[in-house]
Amino acid sequence: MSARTYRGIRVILGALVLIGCALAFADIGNWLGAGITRAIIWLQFAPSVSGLLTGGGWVAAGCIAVLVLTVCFGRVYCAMLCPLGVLMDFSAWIAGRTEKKRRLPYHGGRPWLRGAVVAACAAGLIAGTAVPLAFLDPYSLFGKITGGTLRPALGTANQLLAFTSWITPVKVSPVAWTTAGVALGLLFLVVLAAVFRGRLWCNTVCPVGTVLGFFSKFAWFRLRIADAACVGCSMCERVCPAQCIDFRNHTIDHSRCVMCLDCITSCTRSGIHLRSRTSEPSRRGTPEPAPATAKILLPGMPSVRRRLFLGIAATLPAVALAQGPGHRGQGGGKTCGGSCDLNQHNKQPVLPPGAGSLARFQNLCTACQLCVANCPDQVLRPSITQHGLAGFLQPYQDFDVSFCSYNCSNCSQICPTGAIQPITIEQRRLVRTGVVKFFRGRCVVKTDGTACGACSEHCPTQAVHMVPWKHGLTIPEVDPALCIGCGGCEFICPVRPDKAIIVTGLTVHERANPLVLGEQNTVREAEEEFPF
Amino acid sequence: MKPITRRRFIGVSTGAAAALISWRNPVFAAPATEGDGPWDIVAVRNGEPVEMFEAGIAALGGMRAFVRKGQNVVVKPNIGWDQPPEIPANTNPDLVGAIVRHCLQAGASKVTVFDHTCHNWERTYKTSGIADAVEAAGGVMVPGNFENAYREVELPKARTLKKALVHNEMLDCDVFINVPVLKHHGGAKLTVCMKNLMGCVWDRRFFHSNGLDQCIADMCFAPRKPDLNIIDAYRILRKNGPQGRAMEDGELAKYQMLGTDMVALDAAAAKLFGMAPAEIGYVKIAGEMGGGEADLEKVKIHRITLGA
Repeated sequence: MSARTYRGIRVILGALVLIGCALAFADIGNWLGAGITRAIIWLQFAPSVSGLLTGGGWVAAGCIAVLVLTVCFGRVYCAMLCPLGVLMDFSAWIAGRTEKKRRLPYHGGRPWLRGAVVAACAAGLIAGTAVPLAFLDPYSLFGKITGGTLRPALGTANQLLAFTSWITPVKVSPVAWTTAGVALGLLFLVVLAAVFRGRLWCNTVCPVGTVLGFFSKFAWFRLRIADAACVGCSMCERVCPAQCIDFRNHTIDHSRCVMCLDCITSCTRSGIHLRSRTSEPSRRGTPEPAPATAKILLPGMPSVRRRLFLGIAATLPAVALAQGPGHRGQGGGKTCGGSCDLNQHNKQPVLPPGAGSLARFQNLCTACQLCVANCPDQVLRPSITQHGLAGFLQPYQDFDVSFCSYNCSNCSQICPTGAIQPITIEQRRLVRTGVVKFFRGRCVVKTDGTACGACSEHCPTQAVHMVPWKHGLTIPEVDPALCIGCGGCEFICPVRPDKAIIVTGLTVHERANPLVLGEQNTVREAEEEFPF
Repeated sequence: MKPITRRRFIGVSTGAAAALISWRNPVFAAPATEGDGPWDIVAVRNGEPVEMFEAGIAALGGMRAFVRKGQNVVVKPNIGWDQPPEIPANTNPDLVGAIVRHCLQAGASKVTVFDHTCHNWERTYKTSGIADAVEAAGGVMVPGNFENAYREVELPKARTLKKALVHNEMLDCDVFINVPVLKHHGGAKLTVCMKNLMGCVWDRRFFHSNGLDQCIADMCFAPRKPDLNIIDAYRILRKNGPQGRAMEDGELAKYQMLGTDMVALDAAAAKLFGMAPAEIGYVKIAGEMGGGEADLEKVKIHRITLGA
C-alpha cells in the first residue's frame, strides 16, 4: 500500500468517524438508536477501557482492538479514529489552505507533562472522580463540544423549519448558556492549538495519546528514515504535525508519531518507510536530540500558562472531593419542621436509572453527553451546579423539562463508560432513583378546593394515588415503597413557585417494590337494560 | 374512470357489504317503542368496536351526514399514554381506523389524527396501535406536542378559561370528530368527551391550577365544537386512571355511544361507569352553563344491542 492510498483511507475513515460521532452526539431525532450509536463509538479508547473494567463485555472491548492496532502499527487511532484528532487535522488543513503553512519544527517533547496528566487522571479515578479525565479525554471533549454547540444549533434549526410539513419537529432539552459557553471555549482552544501547533494537544495533555504513545514505542511496524537516502532537506520535519521528526539525527519519536504518514509523501528521495522491527538495523546508541533548538525555535506557550493549566488539572479533583457527593435534600432537609422549605430547586438531583449510586456515577461518568443527546424523553441535562463541582456537566434528570419514562432504559444501553450500567426496561421499572415527597399544604386541592390529580395521572406505579377528601374531591396520597423516582408527578404539578410534589434523588439507588398485577381485563356482567 | 386501487376496492366492497347487511336487518332497525330520530345519543352494545361503530353511525344517517365531499376532517382520539390497547388508556385503534375509513369513503379530502400526548408522542402513537391503524386506513398522524402548532383563541362564554392556546388542526378543520375512551380519572373522576378536548390545548397545567372541573366545562365554549363525538367504551379503564397500570384495570364492557351533545354523552357515560352524572363536577357545571343537556330524562337515546 502506498502512502497516498493510506492518506486516502485516513481521510475517508477520519471523515466517517468525525461525521458519525457528530451525528451520535447531535442525534436530536434519535434516528440512530442505541445499537448503531454504540457501534459508531465502539473504538473510542477511554470510554471503552472504563466500560470494559466495569464489566461491559465485548460491547466495550473496542479498546483491545485499538491496543492491538497500536502495538502493530502505532497510533493509527490518533490518525483517524479519534474524532478530536480528526477535527484538529481538519482545522489545520483548512487553515493551511487559506494562509501560509506554518512551520512546525522538531520539538523534544514534554514527557513529564504527559506523565503528570495521565497520573492526574488515574489519581482522580482512584480518588473517586472522573473530572480530570472528563476534561482531557478526547472522546469526552468531543462530546461536550458537539453536545453544547451542534446539538442546540440543530434543535433551533428544527424548531425554525418545523412549520414545513416535511420536517418533523423534535423535542430538544434546553442547553444552558454555561454548557454552550464551555463547549465553544473548548472548541476554540482545540482549533487554535491545531492551527498553530498541529498535534500539540495530542502529544502533551491527551491521556489517550500518552497511553497509546507508550505502546507505539514498541510498535511492530514503524517509520524509519533511511540514513543513506536522506539529504537533510527537512521536508519531513516541516510536514510533521506531531513535531516528532528530528531530520538532523534521522530519528522519529514513535511515542508521539500520530501515523499520518505525511512525511513519507513529503520525502522526494523516498527515504522514509514503514518497516517492521526485525528489519531495523541496531543503532549505535540513541543519538541525542537537539534540545536547545526546540526552545529557541519555539517560544510557544509561556510555561507559566502551562503550569497554571496543570495546576488546575491537579486541583480539580481535590476541589471536587471537597465538594463531595452532597446530601442536600436527603430526609427532607435540615430546617424541615411542620412546613418544609425543600423544593424542586434545592433538592438532591436525580441520576439516570442504572447509575447505582452518586459516588459510583461520579467516579465513572466523563460527561460525554451521549445519554443527554439520546434520551428519548429529553429529561437528562448536563448539570451546572446541581451535582456540585465534581459533577460539572454530568447528567441529571430535570423534571422541569420532562420526566423519565417507565418504558425506556435507553441511557443505560447507550452509556459507553459503564457509569450508567446497562439495564433492561423490566429492570428499570424496579430501580428507585429518587423518592416522592408530597406537601399537602401546597396542593391546589387543599389551597383552592378544586380537583386536580395531575401527579397521580402521571404516576406509572400509582405510588401517588388519589384518595377521597372533602366536598367530593380527591387528594394525593403517596406510597414511597412503590415510587421509582421517574419524576412524572413533579413535572406535571401545576403549583408554583414551590411545587406541591417533588422527587428527591437518592445517593444510593434502591429496589422498588415489584407490582404483581392481573394480566387480564375483567368482563362486565351482562345487563338486561342499558344503564342510561 | 379512476383505476381501481386496493384501497378503493376495499373501501367500496366494505361499504357494499355493510349496506347489504344493514338492508332490512332487524338489528339495525330502531325498535318501534323508542320512536324515531333524530337522536341525541345513539348507544350501541355487545359488539366489536368496528361493528358497533358501523351500526351507530348508520343510525345517525351514515358518515355522509357529517362529512361532505372534499372536506378536511380531524379525528381527535385519546392517545395520552404509552399503553397498549389492552390497557384502555387510549381510544381503541380499530375504532379510530374505522372512523378514518368512513370519513374517506364519505369523500373527505384529508383525515388528520392527533393528540397532545402526556408520554413521548412517537412512542405513544405507536404503542397505542393508533398510528398503524390510521395509516392503514389512509389517514395522517400529526404531532400535538409542539407549541408552534397552537394559537391563542378567546372563549368569551367561558368562566375561567377565557383564553387558551388551541391546536391549529382543531381550529382549522371542516369537520371535527371527538373520540374519547371512557376512563377513570383520579382528579376529575371520569374522562370522556369534554375532558378529551384538553388534548387540543397547549397549557394543561392551567386547567389543573385554576379549577379543573370549571376549565373542562369551559371547553364546551371553545370556538370549535366537535361535530360528532364517539365514546369508546369497548374497554373501560375502571381504576388507576387515566394512565392505568395493568390489564386488570380494564373492563371489557362492549359499549359505544355516539352523538353531538358532549354533556349528555358524558352524563350517559357516568351512568355506564356506575356514577350519577351530578357526581362529575364538570358535567354539572357544563349543564348549568348551557353547554349541553345534563339531564338524561330530556335526551332522546336510541339503544341498539347487537347480536340480540
